[in-house]
Amino acid sequence: MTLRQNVQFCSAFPNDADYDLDVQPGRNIAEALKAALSRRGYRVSEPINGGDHGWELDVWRGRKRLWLQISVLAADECYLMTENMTFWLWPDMDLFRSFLRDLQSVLAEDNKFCVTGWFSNGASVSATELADAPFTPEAAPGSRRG
Amino acid sequence: MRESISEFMDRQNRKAARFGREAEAAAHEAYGKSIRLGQDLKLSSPGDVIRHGAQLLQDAEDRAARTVSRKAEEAKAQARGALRGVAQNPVARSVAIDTARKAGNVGGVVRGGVHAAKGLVDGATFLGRLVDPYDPLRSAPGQSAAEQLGRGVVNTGRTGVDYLRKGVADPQSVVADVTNAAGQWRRELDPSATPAAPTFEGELRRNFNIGQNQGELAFDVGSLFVGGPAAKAVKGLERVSNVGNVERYIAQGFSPKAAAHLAEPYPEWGMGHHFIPRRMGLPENYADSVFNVLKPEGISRGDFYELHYKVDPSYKGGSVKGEKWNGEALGLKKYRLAGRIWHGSPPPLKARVGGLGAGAGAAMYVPDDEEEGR
Repeated sequence: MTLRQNVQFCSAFPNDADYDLDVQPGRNIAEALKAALSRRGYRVSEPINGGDHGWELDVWRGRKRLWLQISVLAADECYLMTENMTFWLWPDMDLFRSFLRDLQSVLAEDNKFCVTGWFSNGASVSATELADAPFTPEAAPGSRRG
Repeated sequence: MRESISEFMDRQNRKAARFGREAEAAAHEAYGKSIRLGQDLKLSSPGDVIRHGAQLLQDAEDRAARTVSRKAEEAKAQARGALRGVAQNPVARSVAIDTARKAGNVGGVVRGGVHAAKGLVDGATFLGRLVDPYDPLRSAPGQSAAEQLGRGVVNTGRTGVDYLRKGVADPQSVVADVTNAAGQWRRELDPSATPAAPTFEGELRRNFNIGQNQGELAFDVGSLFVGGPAAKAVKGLERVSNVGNVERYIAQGFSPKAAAHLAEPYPEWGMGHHFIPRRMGLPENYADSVFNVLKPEGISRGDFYELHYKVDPSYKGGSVKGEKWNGEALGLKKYRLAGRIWHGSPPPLKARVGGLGAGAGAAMYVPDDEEEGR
């Protein structure tokens, strides 16, 4: 099963960068995601300035932590990259998959986002066929623990 | 094995006989040709035949030498023409100078390794003599290892004491010495510290030499057992030249405004690249220390983004004055694990962790075009 934990999307959010201070755009996107994920029961940090990367959010379900990064290259090319930060010896893959499904819903429900496609870690976006979903339906949450 | 006199004479005789045969054959061929063409060629004695043949062979040899020399001149002229073409194109010129310096870096790392190895060998020989009880008997008076060592220690100590005394009496002299040493160091390592050479070839040579110095210093620092101020000071190695090089970024397709922004020095307040990502939750005083943050001094924003793209799997690019900066679109390749470790780790970390093992530095040198496995 291929897990695609990153997504390319376009955004209708205004550019909120401060180039004089080297602050990348995307804080407004991080705020919107924080609000949407909080409504789904996650505890979400304030947006964290990730320097050249853009903006980051720490996301918790209980004591388990997940992470996402928002990079805005242009309105038509933004990236959300996620990582499962649960204990590396026994990573909670159910939680991670559930989080990716929630993220997929959040992006689909807000018309300021337009998802181009999902891709795996290490994949070249231009050389990979982007997928419609973070994983195939048969690998939905609860089907297997990785 | 050396050749004896009789063997030498035999060889010379064989050579003369072979030459005689070849000259005779050449003369006979010429004679045959002259008969076919109706020309008058008189070779009345065996001596005439040999003389004429030898002249023919000599003429052929001269002709061949002239041809080779003409070809070499043509090749040189072509190379000079190509070089002139490169010199006239600012982007190609910038790339060529950059390449010369990088080539120098590699050469310098090798030179550093050779010097280090030579030092080790010399040191081992000296230690061997030092523990050898017969060394004083075998050495000239005053030249035994023990006597040399004693003299070295005494001299070094005396020099240090004298210098300390002079420094206390005149602190400004120490400041001047340090400034002079720093100035010399900068001239040897920083291409912007000395004027550009008047010719393009000279500029290539100058950058190659500076690159060699940088490479050797990198090797030396990488070989330290522990990191320190010197290790910290070389953070900006080799990456000083594209500050202000707006053309380079215009050539990448950016507007003059964005290109100027990319050509500025990467700001002090910039976060740099975290070798161990901040999300891993390391204590802040380590996560943001010089041992974890790669932020070469004097590097341009554009060059830093390129470096960042290559060493960080989670960095795709960003926005520059409202324009898209995408490493993949610029044709950059991400490093594999070894490249990420080597190019993505700050020099102080390399120096502290590396120790002599960073002699491995040389072995681990990963060329810039290494591609990440996908």
